[in-house]
Amino acid sequence: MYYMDFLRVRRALRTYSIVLGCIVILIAITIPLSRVTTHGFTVGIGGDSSLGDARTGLALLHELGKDHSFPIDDFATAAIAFAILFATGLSTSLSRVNESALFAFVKPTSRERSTWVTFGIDAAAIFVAFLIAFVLSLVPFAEVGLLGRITFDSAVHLPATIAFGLGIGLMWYGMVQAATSTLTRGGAILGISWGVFATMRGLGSIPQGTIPDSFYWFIHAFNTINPLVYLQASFGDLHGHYGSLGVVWLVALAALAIATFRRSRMEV
Amino acid sequence: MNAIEIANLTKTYGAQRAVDDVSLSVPDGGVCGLLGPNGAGKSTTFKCLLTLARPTSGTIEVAGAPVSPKTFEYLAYVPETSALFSKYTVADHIEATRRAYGTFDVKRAAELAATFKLDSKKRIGKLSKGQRTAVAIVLAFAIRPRVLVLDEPASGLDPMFQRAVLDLIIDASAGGASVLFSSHQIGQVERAADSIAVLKGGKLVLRGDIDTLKGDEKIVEAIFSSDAPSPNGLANDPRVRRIERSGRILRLHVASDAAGVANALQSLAPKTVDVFDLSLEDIFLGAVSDGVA
Repeated sequence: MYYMDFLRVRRALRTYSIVLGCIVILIAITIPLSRVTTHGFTVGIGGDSSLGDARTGLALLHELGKDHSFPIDDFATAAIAFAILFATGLSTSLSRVNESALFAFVKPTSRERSTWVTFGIDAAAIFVAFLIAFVLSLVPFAEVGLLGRITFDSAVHLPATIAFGLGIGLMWYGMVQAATSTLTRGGAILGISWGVFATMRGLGSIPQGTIPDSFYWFIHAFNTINPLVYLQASFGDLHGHYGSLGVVWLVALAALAIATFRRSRMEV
Repeated sequence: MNAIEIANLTKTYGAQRAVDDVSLSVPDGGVCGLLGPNGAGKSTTFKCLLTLARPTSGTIEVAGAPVSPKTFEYLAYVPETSALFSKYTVADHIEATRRAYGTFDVKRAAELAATFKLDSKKRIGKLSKGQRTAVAIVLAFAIRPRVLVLDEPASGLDPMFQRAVLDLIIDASAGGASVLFSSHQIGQVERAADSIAVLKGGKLVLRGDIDTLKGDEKIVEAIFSSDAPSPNGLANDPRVRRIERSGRILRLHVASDAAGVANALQSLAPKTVDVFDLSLEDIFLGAVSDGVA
Protein backbone atom coordinates (compact mmCIF):
# COMPACT_ATOMS: atom_id res chain seq x y z
CA MET A 1 0.00 0.00 0.00
CA TYR A 2 2.88 2.32 -0.77
CA TYR A 3 0.65 4.52 -2.86
CA MET A 4 -1.62 5.12 0.13
CA ASP A 5 1.45 6.03 2.20
CA PHE A 6 2.48 8.45 -0.50
CA LEU A 7 -0.99 10.03 -0.55
CA ARG A 8 -0.98 10.25 3.24
CA VAL A 9 2.36 12.06 3.54
CA ARG A 10 1.52 14.30 0.60
CA ARG A 11 -1.64 15.37 2.39
CA ALA A 12 0.28 15.88 5.66
CA LEU A 13 2.98 17.92 3.93
CA ARG A 14 0.37 20.04 2.21
CA THR A 15 -1.31 20.87 5.52
CA TYR A 16 2.05 21.49 7.17
CA SER A 17 3.16 23.81 4.34
CA ILE A 18 -0.07 25.75 4.50
CA VAL A 19 0.27 26.27 8.26
CA LEU A 20 3.93 27.31 8.02
CA GLY A 21 3.18 29.43 4.97
CA CYS A 22 0.44 31.24 6.90
CA ILE A 23 2.87 31.90 9.76
CA VAL A 24 5.46 33.28 7.36
CA ILE A 25 2.88 35.43 5.56
CA LEU A 26 1.71 36.73 8.93
CA ILE A 27 5.27 37.66 9.85
CA ALA A 28 5.86 39.17 6.42
CA ILE A 29 2.75 41.33 6.82
CA THR A 30 3.53 42.26 10.42
CA ILE A 31 7.03 43.59 9.69
CA PRO A 32 6.04 46.45 7.32
CA LEU A 33 2.91 47.16 9.37
CA SER A 34 5.06 47.52 12.48
CA ARG A 35 7.30 49.98 10.72
CA VAL A 36 4.50 52.11 9.40
CA THR A 37 1.95 52.08 12.16
CA THR A 38 4.42 52.41 14.99
CA HIS A 39 6.76 54.91 13.59
CA GLY A 40 5.47 56.06 10.26
CA PHE A 41 8.70 55.52 8.36
CA THR A 42 10.69 52.73 6.82
CA VAL A 43 14.06 51.89 8.22
CA GLY A 44 16.89 50.72 5.95
CA ILE A 45 17.85 47.67 7.91
CA GLY A 46 20.29 46.45 5.31
CA GLY A 47 22.52 49.53 5.37
CA ASP A 48 24.91 50.76 8.03
CA SER A 49 23.50 54.24 8.48
CA SER A 50 20.54 53.73 10.72
CA LEU A 51 21.05 50.41 12.38
CA GLY A 52 21.78 51.88 15.75
CA ASP A 53 18.65 53.97 15.60
CA ALA A 54 16.34 51.37 14.26
CA ARG A 55 12.97 51.78 15.94
CA THR A 56 10.69 49.43 14.17
CA GLY A 57 8.78 47.95 17.04
CA LEU A 58 10.42 44.59 16.48
CA ALA A 59 12.48 43.42 19.38
CA LEU A 60 14.79 41.62 17.00
CA LEU A 61 15.71 44.83 15.20
CA HIS A 62 15.97 46.89 18.34
CA GLU A 63 18.70 44.58 19.50
CA LEU A 64 20.60 44.52 16.25
CA GLY A 65 24.06 45.84 16.25
CA LYS A 66 26.17 46.69 13.23
CA ASP A 67 28.07 43.41 13.44
CA HIS A 68 25.17 41.18 14.39
CA SER A 69 25.01 38.00 12.35
CA PHE A 70 22.81 34.95 12.15
CA PRO A 71 24.54 31.54 12.02
CA ILE A 72 22.96 29.21 9.49
CA ASP A 73 22.78 26.60 12.28
CA ASP A 74 20.08 28.65 14.02
CA PHE A 75 17.81 28.36 11.00
CA ALA A 76 18.40 24.63 10.85
CA THR A 77 17.60 24.29 14.55
CA ALA A 78 14.36 26.21 14.15
CA ALA A 79 13.43 24.09 11.15
CA ILE A 80 14.23 20.93 13.13
CA ALA A 81 11.73 21.93 15.80
CA PHE A 82 9.00 22.10 13.18
CA ALA A 83 10.17 18.86 11.58
CA ILE A 84 9.96 17.11 14.97
CA LEU A 85 6.41 18.38 15.38
CA PHE A 86 5.66 17.02 11.93
CA ALA A 87 7.32 13.70 12.79
CA THR A 88 5.11 13.23 15.83
CA GLY A 89 2.11 13.93 13.60
CA LEU A 90 3.11 10.99 11.38
CA SER A 91 3.95 8.70 14.25
CA THR A 92 0.59 6.93 14.27
CA SER A 93 0.73 6.04 10.58
CA LEU A 94 0.87 2.28 11.22
CA SER A 95 -2.13 2.35 13.51
CA ARG A 96 -4.06 4.29 10.87
CA VAL A 97 -3.28 1.61 8.32
CA ASN A 98 -4.36 -1.01 10.85
CA GLU A 99 -7.92 0.28 10.52
CA SER A 100 -7.70 -1.04 6.96
CA ALA A 101 -5.68 -4.15 7.82
CA LEU A 102 -8.14 -6.50 6.11
CA PHE A 103 -7.32 -4.63 2.91
CA ALA A 104 -3.68 -3.72 3.47
CA PHE A 105 -2.40 -7.02 4.93
CA VAL A 106 -3.59 -9.22 2.09
CA LYS A 107 -1.24 -7.83 -0.52
CA PRO A 108 1.75 -9.57 -2.10
CA THR A 109 4.21 -7.89 0.25
CA SER A 110 5.35 -9.04 3.67
CA ARG A 111 4.21 -6.99 6.62
CA GLU A 112 7.83 -6.36 7.57
CA ARG A 113 8.63 -4.92 4.17
CA SER A 114 5.49 -2.79 3.98
CA THR A 115 6.18 -1.49 7.49
CA TRP A 116 9.71 -0.40 6.60
CA VAL A 117 8.49 1.19 3.40
CA THR A 118 6.02 3.17 5.51
CA PHE A 119 8.91 4.21 7.77
CA GLY A 120 10.99 5.18 4.75
CA ILE A 121 8.25 7.28 3.20
CA ASP A 122 7.57 8.96 6.55
CA ALA A 123 11.29 9.62 7.10
CA ALA A 124 11.56 11.19 3.66
CA ALA A 125 8.52 13.34 4.43
CA ILE A 126 10.06 14.43 7.74
CA PHE A 127 13.20 15.51 5.89
CA VAL A 128 11.09 17.40 3.34
CA ALA A 129 9.24 19.04 6.24
CA PHE A 130 12.60 20.13 7.61
CA LEU A 131 13.61 21.60 4.24
CA ILE A 132 10.30 23.45 3.90
CA ALA A 133 10.66 24.98 7.37
CA PHE A 134 14.31 25.81 6.69
CA VAL A 135 13.52 27.65 3.45
CA LEU A 136 10.47 29.40 4.88
CA SER A 137 12.43 30.57 7.92
CA LEU A 138 14.63 32.58 5.55
CA VAL A 139 11.71 34.46 3.99
CA PRO A 140 11.14 37.05 6.77
CA PHE A 141 14.90 37.71 6.88
CA ALA A 142 14.95 38.19 3.12
CA GLU A 143 12.05 40.62 3.39
CA VAL A 144 13.87 42.90 5.84
CA GLY A 145 17.14 42.56 3.95
CA LEU A 146 18.95 40.47 6.52
CA LEU A 147 19.92 37.56 4.30
CA GLY A 148 23.40 39.06 4.01
CA ARG A 149 23.80 38.77 7.76
CA ILE A 150 23.55 34.99 7.66
CA THR A 151 26.94 33.44 8.30
CA PHE A 152 28.17 30.03 7.29
CA ASP A 153 31.09 29.71 9.73
CA SER A 154 29.19 27.05 11.61
CA ALA A 155 28.04 25.26 8.47
CA VAL A 156 30.57 22.54 9.15
CA HIS A 157 28.34 21.42 12.02
CA LEU A 158 25.19 21.64 9.94
CA PRO A 159 25.02 17.96 8.90
CA ALA A 160 25.49 16.84 12.51
CA THR A 161 22.88 19.34 13.72
CA ILE A 162 20.42 18.09 11.13
CA ALA A 163 21.22 14.45 11.86
CA PHE A 164 20.76 15.06 15.58
CA GLY A 165 17.52 16.97 15.18
CA LEU A 166 15.95 14.60 12.71
CA GLY A 167 17.18 11.71 14.85
CA ILE A 168 15.23 13.15 17.76
CA GLY A 169 12.17 13.39 15.55
CA LEU A 170 12.60 9.79 14.39
CA MET A 171 13.21 8.66 17.98
CA TRP A 172 9.88 10.09 19.08
CA TYR A 173 8.21 8.83 15.91
CA GLY A 174 9.66 5.34 16.48
CA MET A 175 8.63 5.09 20.10
CA VAL A 176 5.04 6.08 19.35
CA GLN A 177 5.04 3.62 16.42
CA ALA A 178 6.34 0.87 18.71
CA ALA A 179 3.54 1.58 21.18
CA THR A 180 0.77 1.87 18.59
CA SER A 181 1.82 -0.49 15.80
CA THR A 182 -0.83 -3.06 16.72
CA LEU A 183 -3.59 -0.62 17.62
CA THR A 184 -6.21 0.98 15.44
CA ARG A 185 -6.40 4.19 17.45
CA GLY A 186 -2.97 5.57 18.19
CA GLY A 187 -3.81 9.24 18.60
CA ALA A 188 -4.34 8.98 22.34
CA ILE A 189 -0.93 7.35 22.84
CA LEU A 190 0.68 10.16 20.85
CA GLY A 191 -1.05 12.73 23.05
CA ILE A 192 0.01 10.90 26.19
CA SER A 193 3.61 10.77 24.93
CA TRP A 194 3.75 14.58 24.97
CA GLY A 195 2.55 14.67 28.56
CA VAL A 196 4.84 11.88 29.75
CA PHE A 197 7.98 13.19 28.02
CA ALA A 198 7.39 16.77 29.18
CA THR A 199 6.68 15.67 32.76
CA MET A 200 9.70 13.36 32.94
CA ARG A 201 11.96 16.02 31.46
CA GLY A 202 10.74 18.43 34.14
CA LEU A 203 11.21 15.85 36.91
CA GLY A 204 14.72 15.25 35.61
CA SER A 205 15.81 18.63 37.03
CA ILE A 206 14.95 17.62 40.60
CA PRO A 207 18.22 17.28 42.54
CA GLN A 208 19.25 13.90 43.88
CA GLY A 209 18.37 13.45 47.54
CA THR A 210 15.16 15.45 47.43
CA ILE A 211 13.19 12.46 46.14
CA PRO A 212 13.60 8.72 46.81
CA ASP A 213 16.69 7.36 45.04
CA SER A 214 14.76 4.70 43.14
CA PHE A 215 12.42 7.34 41.75
CA TYR A 216 15.35 9.60 40.90
CA TRP A 217 17.15 6.87 38.98
CA PHE A 218 13.98 5.77 37.27
CA ILE A 219 13.47 9.31 36.00
CA HIS A 220 17.03 9.55 34.76
CA ALA A 221 16.91 6.11 33.16
CA PHE A 222 13.67 7.03 31.43
CA ASN A 223 15.12 10.30 30.24
CA THR A 224 17.80 8.47 28.27
CA ILE A 225 15.00 7.71 25.83
CA ASN A 226 13.19 11.02 26.27
CA PRO A 227 13.27 13.01 23.02
CA LEU A 228 12.55 16.27 24.83
CA VAL A 229 15.77 15.90 26.84
CA TYR A 230 17.76 15.55 23.62
CA LEU A 231 15.77 18.33 21.98
CA GLN A 232 17.01 20.69 24.68
CA ALA A 233 20.58 19.62 23.90
CA SER A 234 20.07 20.14 20.18
CA PHE A 235 19.12 23.77 20.79
CA GLY A 236 22.42 24.33 22.55
CA ASP A 237 25.93 23.74 21.38
CA LEU A 238 26.21 20.36 19.72
CA HIS A 239 29.83 19.95 20.78
CA GLY A 240 30.02 17.18 23.31
CA HIS A 241 26.72 15.73 22.22
CA TYR A 242 27.93 13.44 19.48
CA GLY A 243 27.40 10.51 21.85
CA SER A 244 23.81 11.62 22.24
CA LEU A 245 23.47 11.68 18.47
CA GLY A 246 24.38 7.99 18.43
CA VAL A 247 21.97 7.19 21.27
CA VAL A 248 19.15 9.04 19.55
CA TRP A 249 19.54 7.10 16.32
CA LEU A 250 20.05 3.82 18.15
CA VAL A 251 16.85 4.30 20.14
CA ALA A 252 15.02 5.36 16.97
CA LEU A 253 16.10 2.27 15.05
CA ALA A 254 15.42 -0.04 18.00
CA ALA A 255 11.93 1.42 18.40
CA LEU A 256 11.22 0.98 14.70
CA ALA A 257 12.44 -2.62 14.88
CA ILE A 258 10.12 -3.27 17.84
CA ALA A 259 7.22 -1.70 15.94
CA THR A 260 7.96 -3.92 12.95
CA PHE A 261 8.19 -7.07 15.06
CA ARG A 262 4.95 -6.35 16.90
CA ARG A 263 3.14 -5.60 13.66
CA SER A 264 4.40 -8.74 11.98
CA ARG A 265 2.86 -10.75 14.83
CA MET A 266 -0.36 -8.75 14.92
CA GLU A 267 -3.65 -10.61 14.56
CA VAL A 268 -6.59 -8.88 12.99
CA MET B 1 -4.44 -30.57 -6.38
CA ASN B 2 -6.74 -28.56 -4.20
CA ALA B 3 -6.66 -24.78 -4.48
CA ILE B 4 -7.39 -24.47 -0.77
CA GLU B 5 -6.66 -27.17 1.78
CA ILE B 6 -7.51 -26.59 5.42
CA ALA B 7 -6.64 -29.49 7.72
CA ASN B 8 -7.65 -29.77 11.38
CA LEU B 9 -7.74 -26.02 11.87
CA THR B 10 -8.30 -24.90 15.44
CA LYS B 11 -8.23 -21.31 16.62
CA THR B 12 -8.79 -20.38 20.23
CA TYR B 13 -9.13 -16.98 21.86
CA GLY B 14 -8.49 -17.60 25.53
CA ALA B 15 -10.87 -20.34 26.57
CA GLN B 16 -13.12 -19.86 23.56
CA ARG B 17 -12.69 -22.15 20.56
CA ALA B 18 -13.66 -19.95 17.60
CA VAL B 19 -12.76 -22.70 15.15
CA ASP B 20 -12.58 -26.30 16.31
CA ASP B 21 -10.77 -28.92 14.24
CA VAL B 22 -12.14 -27.80 10.89
CA SER B 23 -10.99 -29.52 7.70
CA LEU B 24 -12.20 -28.49 4.28
CA SER B 25 -10.89 -28.15 0.80
CA VAL B 26 -11.73 -26.36 -2.41
CA PRO B 27 -10.60 -28.14 -5.57
CA ASP B 28 -9.05 -26.26 -8.45
CA GLY B 29 -11.85 -24.43 -10.24
CA GLY B 30 -14.34 -25.33 -7.53
CA VAL B 31 -16.74 -23.06 -5.70
CA CYS B 32 -17.33 -23.82 -2.04
CA GLY B 33 -19.94 -22.03 0.03
CA LEU B 34 -19.10 -21.68 3.69
CA LEU B 35 -22.32 -21.45 5.66
CA GLY B 36 -23.12 -21.00 9.29
CA PRO B 37 -25.02 -18.84 11.72
CA ASN B 38 -23.43 -15.65 13.04
CA GLY B 39 -20.48 -16.50 15.27
CA ALA B 40 -20.06 -19.93 13.73
CA GLY B 41 -16.40 -19.28 12.92
CA LYS B 42 -16.58 -18.42 9.22
CA SER B 43 -14.70 -15.11 9.42
CA THR B 44 -12.12 -16.59 11.79
CA THR B 45 -11.54 -19.43 9.34
CA PHE B 46 -11.00 -16.86 6.59
CA LYS B 47 -8.61 -14.84 8.77
CA CYS B 48 -6.54 -17.94 9.54
CA LEU B 49 -6.51 -18.81 5.85
CA LEU B 50 -5.25 -15.33 5.00
CA THR B 51 -2.62 -15.21 7.80
CA LEU B 52 -4.55 -12.40 9.48
CA ALA B 53 -4.83 -14.69 12.51
CA ARG B 54 -2.47 -17.45 13.63
CA PRO B 55 -4.02 -20.91 13.89
CA THR B 56 -3.70 -22.55 17.28
CA SER B 57 -3.22 -25.82 15.43
CA GLY B 58 -3.77 -27.28 12.01
CA THR B 59 -2.39 -26.52 8.59
CA ILE B 60 -3.52 -24.36 5.70
CA GLU B 61 -2.28 -24.53 2.15
CA VAL B 62 -3.19 -22.58 -0.95
CA ALA B 63 -2.16 -24.06 -4.29
CA GLY B 64 -0.16 -26.69 -2.44
CA ALA B 65 1.97 -24.32 -0.38
CA PRO B 66 1.64 -22.54 2.95
CA VAL B 67 0.23 -19.04 2.64
CA SER B 68 2.94 -16.40 2.17
CA PRO B 69 3.03 -12.88 0.70
CA LYS B 70 3.59 -14.50 -2.69
CA THR B 71 0.21 -16.25 -2.35
CA PHE B 72 -1.49 -12.88 -2.54
CA GLU B 73 -0.22 -12.37 -6.06
CA TYR B 74 -3.06 -14.63 -7.17
CA LEU B 75 -5.42 -14.65 -4.18
CA ALA B 76 -7.99 -11.90 -3.69
CA TYR B 77 -10.05 -11.34 -0.58
CA VAL B 78 -13.22 -9.41 0.05
CA PRO B 79 -13.81 -8.96 3.79
CA GLU B 80 -17.20 -8.93 5.44
CA THR B 81 -16.77 -5.36 6.66
CA SER B 82 -15.30 -2.51 4.68
CA ALA B 83 -11.57 -2.26 5.28
CA LEU B 84 -10.87 0.45 2.75
CA PHE B 85 -9.23 3.77 3.56
CA SER B 86 -12.12 6.11 4.27
CA LYS B 87 -10.20 9.31 3.47
CA TYR B 88 -9.25 8.24 -0.03
CA THR B 89 -11.27 7.96 -3.20
CA VAL B 90 -12.34 4.94 -5.20
CA ALA B 91 -9.79 5.97 -7.85
CA ASP B 92 -7.03 6.08 -5.21
CA HIS B 93 -7.84 2.50 -4.20
CA ILE B 94 -7.85 1.37 -7.81
CA GLU B 95 -4.47 3.02 -8.36
CA ALA B 96 -3.01 1.54 -5.16
CA THR B 97 -4.19 -1.93 -6.17
CA ARG B 98 -2.90 -1.48 -9.71
CA ARG B 99 0.54 -0.68 -8.31
CA ALA B 100 0.45 -3.69 -5.98
CA TYR B 101 -0.49 -6.31 -8.60
CA GLY B 102 1.16 -7.01 -11.91
CA THR B 103 -2.01 -8.76 -13.08
CA PHE B 104 -4.32 -5.82 -12.38
CA ASP B 105 -6.64 -5.23 -15.33
CA VAL B 106 -7.43 -1.51 -15.49
CA LYS B 107 -10.05 -1.95 -18.20
CA ARG B 108 -11.86 -4.61 -16.23
CA ALA B 109 -11.75 -2.41 -13.11
CA ALA B 110 -13.40 0.40 -15.07
CA GLU B 111 -16.05 -2.00 -16.41
CA LEU B 112 -16.78 -3.37 -12.96
CA ALA B 113 -16.91 0.12 -11.44
CA ALA B 114 -19.47 1.01 -14.12
CA THR B 115 -21.44 -2.17 -13.40
CA PHE B 116 -21.75 -1.18 -9.76
CA LYS B 117 -22.32 2.48 -10.69
CA LEU B 118 -19.37 3.68 -8.62
CA ASP B 119 -18.18 7.28 -8.81
CA SER B 120 -14.41 6.93 -8.83
CA LYS B 121 -13.92 10.46 -7.48
CA LYS B 122 -15.91 9.78 -4.33
CA ARG B 123 -14.18 9.21 -1.04
CA ILE B 124 -14.79 5.82 0.53
CA GLY B 125 -16.08 7.54 3.66
CA LYS B 126 -18.89 9.07 1.61
CA LEU B 127 -20.07 5.74 0.20
CA SER B 128 -22.84 3.52 1.54
CA LYS B 129 -22.03 0.11 3.04
CA GLY B 130 -23.11 -1.59 -0.17
CA GLN B 131 -21.00 0.71 -2.33
CA ARG B 132 -17.94 0.02 -0.19
CA THR B 133 -18.52 -3.69 -0.64
CA ALA B 134 -18.81 -3.04 -4.37
CA VAL B 135 -15.43 -1.25 -4.38
CA ALA B 136 -13.83 -4.21 -2.59
CA ILE B 137 -15.38 -6.55 -5.18
CA VAL B 138 -14.11 -4.41 -8.07
CA LEU B 139 -10.59 -4.46 -6.64
CA ALA B 140 -10.70 -8.21 -5.98
CA PHE B 141 -11.94 -9.24 -9.41
CA ALA B 142 -9.83 -6.74 -11.36
CA ILE B 143 -6.62 -8.57 -10.45
CA ARG B 144 -8.04 -11.67 -12.17
CA PRO B 145 -7.18 -13.92 -9.22
CA ARG B 146 -6.82 -17.69 -9.37
CA VAL B 147 -8.20 -18.01 -5.85
CA LEU B 148 -10.99 -15.89 -4.40
CA VAL B 149 -11.92 -15.72 -0.73
CA LEU B 150 -15.12 -13.78 -0.26
CA ASP B 151 -16.67 -13.14 3.14
CA GLU B 152 -20.30 -12.11 2.63
CA PRO B 153 -19.50 -10.55 -0.75
CA ALA B 154 -23.07 -9.40 -1.38
CA SER B 155 -23.52 -7.85 2.04
CA GLY B 156 -25.36 -4.54 1.84
CA LEU B 157 -25.82 -4.70 -1.92
CA ASP B 158 -29.22 -4.27 -3.49
CA PRO B 159 -30.70 -7.32 -5.30
CA MET B 160 -29.53 -6.17 -8.73
CA PHE B 161 -25.92 -5.92 -7.59
CA GLN B 162 -26.19 -9.13 -5.59
CA ARG B 163 -26.99 -10.81 -8.87
CA ALA B 164 -23.96 -9.13 -10.44
CA VAL B 165 -21.72 -10.51 -7.70
CA LEU B 166 -23.18 -13.96 -8.21
CA ASP B 167 -22.48 -13.72 -11.92
CA LEU B 168 -18.91 -12.64 -11.21
CA ILE B 169 -18.36 -15.68 -8.99
CA ILE B 170 -19.80 -18.03 -11.57
CA ASP B 171 -17.80 -16.31 -14.32
CA ALA B 172 -14.57 -16.52 -12.33
CA SER B 173 -15.16 -20.20 -11.66
CA ALA B 174 -15.88 -20.83 -15.34
CA GLY B 175 -12.56 -19.15 -16.06
CA GLY B 176 -10.75 -21.61 -13.79
CA ALA B 177 -10.66 -19.65 -10.53
CA SER B 178 -11.34 -21.38 -7.23
CA VAL B 179 -13.71 -19.67 -4.86
CA LEU B 180 -14.40 -20.02 -1.15
CA PHE B 181 -17.19 -17.73 -0.07
CA SER B 182 -19.59 -17.25 2.77
CA SER B 183 -23.06 -15.86 2.55
CA HIS B 184 -26.26 -15.68 4.51
CA GLN B 185 -28.10 -15.72 1.19
CA ILE B 186 -28.50 -19.45 0.80
CA GLY B 187 -30.08 -19.02 -2.62
CA GLN B 188 -26.86 -17.41 -3.83
CA VAL B 189 -24.77 -20.25 -2.47
CA GLU B 190 -27.07 -22.78 -4.09
CA ARG B 191 -26.67 -21.09 -7.48
CA ALA B 192 -22.94 -20.47 -7.39
CA ALA B 193 -21.42 -23.23 -5.26
CA ASP B 194 -20.84 -26.84 -6.15
CA SER B 195 -19.98 -27.80 -2.60
CA ILE B 196 -20.71 -26.48 0.86
CA ALA B 197 -19.24 -26.61 4.32
CA VAL B 198 -21.45 -25.75 7.28
CA LEU B 199 -19.97 -24.45 10.51
CA LYS B 200 -21.75 -24.33 13.82
CA GLY B 201 -20.15 -23.24 17.05
CA GLY B 202 -16.73 -23.40 15.40
CA LYS B 203 -17.17 -27.01 14.32
CA LEU B 204 -17.68 -28.34 10.84
CA VAL B 205 -21.08 -30.05 10.99
CA LEU B 206 -21.63 -30.77 7.32
CA ARG B 207 -19.47 -30.84 4.24
CA GLY B 208 -20.00 -32.13 0.76
CA ASP B 209 -21.10 -31.77 -2.79
CA ILE B 210 -24.49 -30.05 -2.99
CA ASP B 211 -25.98 -32.53 -5.46
CA THR B 212 -24.90 -35.46 -3.31
CA LEU B 213 -26.26 -33.86 -0.15
CA LYS B 214 -29.57 -33.19 -1.86
CA GLY B 215 -29.82 -36.49 -3.66
CA ASP B 216 -30.45 -38.88 -0.80
CA GLU B 217 -32.95 -36.93 1.21
CA LYS B 218 -36.57 -35.77 0.67
CA ILE B 219 -38.97 -33.73 2.74
CA VAL B 220 -42.43 -34.96 3.52
CA GLU B 221 -44.57 -32.04 4.63
CA ALA B 222 -48.02 -32.46 6.17
CA ILE B 223 -50.38 -29.58 6.94
CA PHE B 224 -53.13 -30.01 9.50
CA SER B 225 -56.30 -28.01 10.17
CA SER B 226 -55.22 -27.48 13.78
CA ASP B 227 -51.85 -27.82 15.55
CA ALA B 228 -49.80 -30.63 14.07
CA PRO B 229 -49.97 -33.79 16.19
CA SER B 230 -46.94 -35.69 17.45
CA PRO B 231 -45.79 -38.16 14.81
CA ASN B 232 -45.38 -40.81 17.50
CA GLY B 233 -44.04 -43.97 15.89
CA LEU B 234 -42.43 -42.13 13.01
CA ALA B 235 -39.94 -40.50 15.39
CA ASN B 236 -38.12 -43.83 15.67
CA ASP B 237 -38.62 -44.85 12.03
CA PRO B 238 -35.18 -45.53 10.47
CA ARG B 239 -36.32 -43.83 7.26
CA VAL B 240 -36.85 -40.53 9.12
CA ARG B 241 -33.76 -38.45 9.84
CA ARG B 242 -35.35 -35.44 11.48
CA ILE B 243 -38.76 -34.09 12.38
CA GLU B 244 -39.78 -30.44 12.55
CA ARG B 245 -43.12 -29.36 14.00
CA SER B 246 -44.22 -25.77 13.68
CA GLY B 247 -47.88 -24.83 14.29
CA ARG B 248 -49.99 -26.70 11.77
CA ILE B 249 -46.99 -27.96 9.81
CA LEU B 250 -45.23 -31.27 10.35
CA ARG B 251 -42.08 -31.67 8.28
CA LEU B 252 -40.13 -34.92 8.10
CA HIS B 253 -36.65 -35.23 6.58
CA VAL B 254 -36.65 -38.66 5.04
CA ALA B 255 -33.59 -40.63 3.97
CA SER B 256 -35.48 -43.18 1.84
CA ASP B 257 -38.98 -44.30 0.83
CA ALA B 258 -40.55 -40.85 1.04
CA ALA B 259 -43.79 -42.18 -0.50
CA GLY B 260 -44.09 -44.79 2.24
CA VAL B 261 -43.57 -42.19 4.97
CA ALA B 262 -46.18 -39.94 3.29
CA ASN B 263 -48.64 -42.83 3.36
CA ALA B 264 -47.89 -43.46 7.02
CA LEU B 265 -48.66 -39.81 7.77
CA GLN B 266 -52.15 -40.17 6.32
CA SER B 267 -53.11 -41.97 9.53
CA LEU B 268 -52.81 -38.62 11.34
CA ALA B 269 -55.53 -37.12 9.09
CA PRO B 270 -53.66 -34.16 7.65
CA LYS B 271 -55.27 -31.67 5.22
CA THR B 272 -52.46 -32.19 2.72
CA VAL B 273 -49.26 -34.24 2.42
CA ASP B 274 -46.55 -33.36 -0.10
CA VAL B 275 -43.10 -34.69 -0.91
CA PHE B 276 -40.39 -32.16 -1.85
CA ASP B 277 -36.82 -32.35 -3.04
CA LEU B 278 -34.47 -31.11 -0.41
CA SER B 279 -33.29 -27.50 -0.89
CA LEU B 280 -29.96 -26.20 0.29
CA GLU B 281 -31.81 -24.16 2.87
CA ASP B 282 -33.30 -27.37 4.25
CA ILE B 283 -29.86 -28.96 4.33
CA PHE B 284 -28.41 -25.94 6.09
CA LEU B 285 -31.19 -25.65 8.63
CA GLY B 286 -30.99 -29.36 9.22
CA ALA B 287 -27.29 -29.10 9.91
CA VAL B 288 -27.45 -26.15 12.29
CA SER B 289 -30.72 -26.91 14.10
CA ASP B 290 -30.56 -28.33 17.59
CA GLY B 291 -32.48 -31.48 16.89
CA VAL B 292 -35.95 -32.91 16.64
CA ALA B 293 -38.79 -30.50 17.39
